Amino acid sequence: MIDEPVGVRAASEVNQETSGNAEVLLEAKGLARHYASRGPWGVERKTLAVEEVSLRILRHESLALVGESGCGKSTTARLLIGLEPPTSGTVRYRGRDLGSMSRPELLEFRRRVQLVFQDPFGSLNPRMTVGGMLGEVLSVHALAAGEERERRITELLGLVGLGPEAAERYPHEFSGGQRQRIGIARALAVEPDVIVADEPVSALDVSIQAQVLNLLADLQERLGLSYLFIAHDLAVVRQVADRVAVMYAGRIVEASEAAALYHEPLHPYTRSLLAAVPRPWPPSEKRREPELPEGSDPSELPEGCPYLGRCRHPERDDDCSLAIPLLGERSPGRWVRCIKS
Amino acid sequence: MLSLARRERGRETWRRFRRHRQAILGLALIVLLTGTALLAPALAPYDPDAQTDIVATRYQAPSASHPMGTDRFGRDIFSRVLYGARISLSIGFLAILIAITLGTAIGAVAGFFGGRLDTVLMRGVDLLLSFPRLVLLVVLVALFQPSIALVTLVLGLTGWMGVSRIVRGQVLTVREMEFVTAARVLGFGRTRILARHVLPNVLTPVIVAATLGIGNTILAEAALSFLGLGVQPPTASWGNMVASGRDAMLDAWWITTFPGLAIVFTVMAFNLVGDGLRDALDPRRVA
Repeated sequence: MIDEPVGVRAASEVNQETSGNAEVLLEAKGLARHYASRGPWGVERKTLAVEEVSLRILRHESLALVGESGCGKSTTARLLIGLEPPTSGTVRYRGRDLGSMSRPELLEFRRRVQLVFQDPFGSLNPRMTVGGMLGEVLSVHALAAGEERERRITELLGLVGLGPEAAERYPHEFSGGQRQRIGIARALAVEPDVIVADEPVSALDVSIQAQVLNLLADLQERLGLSYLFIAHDLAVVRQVADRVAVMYAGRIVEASEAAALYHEPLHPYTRSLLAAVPRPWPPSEKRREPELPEGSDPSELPEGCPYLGRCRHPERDDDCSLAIPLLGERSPGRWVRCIKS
Repeated sequence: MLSLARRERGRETWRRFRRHRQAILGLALIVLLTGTALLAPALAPYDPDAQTDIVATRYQAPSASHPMGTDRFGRDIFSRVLYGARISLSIGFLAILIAITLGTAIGAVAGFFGGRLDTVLMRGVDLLLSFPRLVLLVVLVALFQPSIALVTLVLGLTGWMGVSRIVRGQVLTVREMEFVTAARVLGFGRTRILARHVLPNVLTPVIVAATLGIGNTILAEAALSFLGLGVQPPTASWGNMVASGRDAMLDAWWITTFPGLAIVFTVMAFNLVGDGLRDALDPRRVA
């Protein structure tokens, strides 16, 4: 069974919005990605990286995809951006199936959907100047030439808060935060409307994280961008996400409007993720739930609910091990994959 | 336009290279050798091929008028060593250029495109490497009329396999890096990604391999010439000079010794510089 796409709001709201500004830019339906690996005796083992993932990225909105490492969020990003084909399911950009796009359509898709990377050191070619990188993008897509190109490079650098002199320099001359800005400028060079940001701040110092997040929020405002924001903790995306989807073991386990999710998490995994957020004030620190239990090997998930081995839900019982729960809508716009929540 | 940064990085590499005493010694030797080779006509006291009064001038021990003595035709060894440097060095440089170009192209294609093409190319390399290089050289050279051009070409054609393995390995690493993914997401074509993003990032070990390879190539050229398959007399090459003196080695040691020392010092110089470059360009220390 295919889940309802995450991010669908209450029916009335959806109707309201489809006529208004809530245009669906990028849509995944029933995405799955399996990897075959060989065990010690050459026995083929199937690893489920992503299973039953459906989501929509709406115009001028940011969707956050949150989960621990290995939960499939980065694979989801790679599928959405067409870096690898899904085992099953479809990705559509403005209604066109990514899998059956012609070459010119694919090139157009590459212009419209861009990626910002986690590692600010590996994602920039060490042998090219910043101006060279941006200029190459502009010339490959025939966006600007000659003096117009120089002007546009300066403009792009300005958008991310860097001066024109940065164009002359090589990546290793910049700090992590500045490099991340360069990566963002490169993504912006093709004038995209969707940016997939794969943990864009998790490699940065905490003091720099906020600056980059503010920059991304500011760019969204100015350029009307949509974001798919991938993160491993809920605190980081709080200030940028409109909607949040939480992933566990390859599946979306909870999805909702950001405010509602932070106010009242439904799935026990979301709750423990929220509890893991450090509090700034000691008295409230005491109310934190205990540490996240150790994760088990994802390839040896229990029968039934994948989260069962770590679940702290007070009502958990034998019913939980009967089958993998479906993603159900508990209240308008609030989806959860838990039979007890 | 050379940016300040590139110059600075170059300076940093140079600083590390300079700390390597032996590498500096090697570089000085190479500069000296190249200089004398270029200036051979001005420096050589005699015509290297001239045979005047053979009976009076042959087998002369080193003296003030013939610093390295004369050979059995009365030719001045010193002049011939100087002219031989031109032949040996230019064959070395040109052959390594051919080898590096071939090796980089084949290794890069194999590593970047992978799959069956990779398998075919790399098994071909394995096959070629399973023959001793000298056997390959002798067979190839024996098929044609020996000439300097042929020796150069054949040395190049038998010297690329190691380079292609190095390049392939590097390409396999670099193509998985995120800036390559970024280039794909930006819609760049595969040729552009390979040429502009992957190749520039694999050239460091190629430069080192090239430097170390020159020494080997010069040695291989000497071996071929020694066997009579390389540079043909009367043109002086260090290899055929050593060969021409081998019958009289006990009576006239200088005929083989001086060209032999030239080979030893040249090969050593390139190896020292290669080692120094490898340390100076160490990717773990280059930002």
